[in-house]
Order: sequence, then C-alpha cells, then structure tokens
Amino acid sequence: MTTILDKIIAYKRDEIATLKRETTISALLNQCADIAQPLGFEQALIQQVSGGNNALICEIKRKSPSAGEILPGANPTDIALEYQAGGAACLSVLTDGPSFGGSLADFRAIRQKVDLPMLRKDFMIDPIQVVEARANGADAVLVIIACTEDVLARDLIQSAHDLGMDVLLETHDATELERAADLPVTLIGINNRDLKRMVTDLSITEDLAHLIPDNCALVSESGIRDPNDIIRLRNTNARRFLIGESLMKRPDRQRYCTALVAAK
Amino acid sequence: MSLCLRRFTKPEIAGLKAWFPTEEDVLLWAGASLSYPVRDRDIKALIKAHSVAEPVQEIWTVIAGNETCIGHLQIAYNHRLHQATLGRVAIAPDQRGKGYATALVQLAVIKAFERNWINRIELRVYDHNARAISAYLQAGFVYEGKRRQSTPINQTYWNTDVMSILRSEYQGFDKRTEGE
Repeated sequence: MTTILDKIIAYKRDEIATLKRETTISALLNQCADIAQPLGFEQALIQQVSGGNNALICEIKRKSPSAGEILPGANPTDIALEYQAGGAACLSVLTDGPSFGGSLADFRAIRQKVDLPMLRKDFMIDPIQVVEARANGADAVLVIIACTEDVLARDLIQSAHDLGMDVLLETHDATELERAADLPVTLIGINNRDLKRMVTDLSITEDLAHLIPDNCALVSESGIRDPNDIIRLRNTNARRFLIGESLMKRPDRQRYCTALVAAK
Repeated sequence: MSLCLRRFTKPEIAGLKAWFPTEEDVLLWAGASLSYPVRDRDIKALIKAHSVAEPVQEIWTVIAGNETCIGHLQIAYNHRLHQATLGRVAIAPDQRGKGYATALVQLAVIKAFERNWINRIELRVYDHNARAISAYLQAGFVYEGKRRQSTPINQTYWNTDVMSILRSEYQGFDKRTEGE
C-alpha cells in the first residue's frame, strides 16, 4: 500500500532533480560562505532546560495531510514573532510545499525578523537539501530516519555538521531508535505521529523514551495539545518538545507558549 | 595539519578494499572505472604504473604526522593536454569527520602542480557528494559543468559534476592563503 510518506518521497525526488537542474552544491556552498554562522540550535535547548523550564521548538506550518489548512491567510513571520515573545527556545519551519504549504521563502522571511535558532523541516533525502538549508540561513535540519537508509542518514548528518548545523534525528519506533544509536547525533526526536497513518499518540514517547542513548537528548514531537500533555511527558524525562498544529491554532499563541514553557 | 603522501604498496590493498564494502561505495569512490568487488590486479596495475620514471599514473596513501594512514588519492597526468586528473580520493573510514578532506585535496593539488607543465587539474564528483564538493571548493576548485544522468544505479541515475583548478588560480589561491 502506498503511504502518504511514500507519495511525499516520490515528489521530493522530482523536486531534487529540478533543484539540481537549477543550481549545484558548489553554488549553494559558495552562498553559504556569505551568510552568518549558524546559531546553536541544541545549545538554545540546553540553556532553556538548564534554567528548569521546558524547551519548546515551536513549529510554523500552513497545512498538513492530517489537519488540512491550519490557519489560512496567516503570516508565518507574525506567528514566529509571537512564539519568540512567548519564550520558545527554537523554531521549526516546514519548507515542504505540496503537503505542508511551506517554502524557503517563508523560511527566509522569518529568518530576517526572528533571532531564534531555526530548523528547516523537510523530507531530506539528498545532501543538496542540507546545503540548500544552510544557504537559506538554517541553523539545524531534520533528518527523518524512516526516509533514509543508514548510509544516507550518516551522509546527511555529517554534511550538516560540516556546515556548522545541528541535526534533529526523528524516529518513531524501537527499530528506528536502534538505528539512531549508531548515528553521529546528540538530539533524537520521537515523533508521536505515525507518518504512515498520520495519527498521534503520546504513549509512543512514553514507551520509547528509555531507548534514547545516554549521550543524546530527547525531543518529544507532535500531538502535544496543552500543559497537561507536557506534564505527562515530563514523567518520561522529556524536557524538549516540538509543538506545531495545536499552537498554530491558538488565538493566544504567545501566552499559551509561555504556559507550556513553565508547565511542570 | 601536517599531511604527506607515500607511495601506495601491495600490502595496503586489502585494507583499501575494506573501505568500500558495497558496490555503491566503490562507485562513489572510483566511478564506473573500477569493477565491484575491486580486483587486486587492477590496483596492482596502478602500483606498477607508478613505479616507472615520470609516471602518468600515481597512486598515493595519505599519511598524517604520526604515521597514521588517513586517506587515499590517485593522480593521472596527460602531457598532450597539460592536464592532471585527480581521482579516487577517499578518507579512511576511521578518520572521517576530523577535517582532513580539504588538506588532503590541497596536498594533491600541490603534488600535481609540481610538474611545471601542468596547467590544469580536473576532477569529477557525483553531484550529491556534498562533503567532497565542499573540500574541493575550499581547495580552490571551481564548478565547470554537469554530466547529466551519467551513471545508472538502483533504478535511477547519478549526475557527475566536473570541477577544475588552473595553475593561475592555484598561484593566486596560494598567495591568498599565505596572506592569511
């Protein structure tokens, strides 16, 4: 059966082929030399956690396969500024267009106005996407282990590290976490959303958190709706949370963000 | 970072082959010019070619200051074209991620331009190999063009980027580096 993830990967291959017709890694690397050094994504999370609070990676996405249009007509930069004022440690910005309504133009617009470290969230299957992320000002990239063989995952991670970026390696089950343990990362996400069926369940983090290697920090991703969810997940020792849809939909984003940061 | 070149020898063949356990690894390293699995006789032929006076083919082990093998590279020379071709560049698996790549490529460039009739060094690299391309750019190579869908692999194709550095650029590059 073809899953949503399969469909996304299929059109990513086409996007990458187009990208390679339009530019080269050489040209993108030359652009990287002209932009500011990356901000410490992992470091910003550590700082927030060491202050006793929750470290939030607040996400900007216009739509998703599971939720449809999330906030039609919204200005991503305004939302990012609200997240920043609410105490977010970092931002995650979807740049996938067809399924999530994002773009690198959104990413650059936010980059110009917001001082927080920013993660490019996309479906990475070729190192040119990592270089493209840095050339557009990214401080970190997401690598989804379900989209990559180990060799490719390592290549993507090392390419990001070469450019001074951090990597959030996303997993969803015990097998993927086992693979993650052999890769050179220190930040591992457990996605509470099954990317093949697009349903969320916080018990995924509860069941898997003990498998995070000692040298890595856990980020619990997706399906977090309110402070009670954070309090529940803190029992797994999670202190870093990636929150998207539920925050995007709140009218009082800044205040709600502050409440999530302080939830204990 | 103090690196030097040492002529590659027969006892090193097994170790080198072990760096490339899969067909994809060999392809990424050597292009389609070597078969998989790599045959000893192909490497031995290169060692023999390097052993003559003024060889047109060189096969090198790259050594760090403490005698550790950190990589491998090969250079071919074409007198008619005043050109060298840098190829089969690899960092030893246990030495990757330590920042050796650019210094290794710089060493190869210096070696090739030691022959004063060499005007240009060319290389080919698969266009998704970001880490290699980064090292080549930092060593002064510039992108020249793309051989599209040059290599079939796993029901798809890889593209090849062509990069080069001219002696005039090398001399300018060298001066800039010295000035830093």
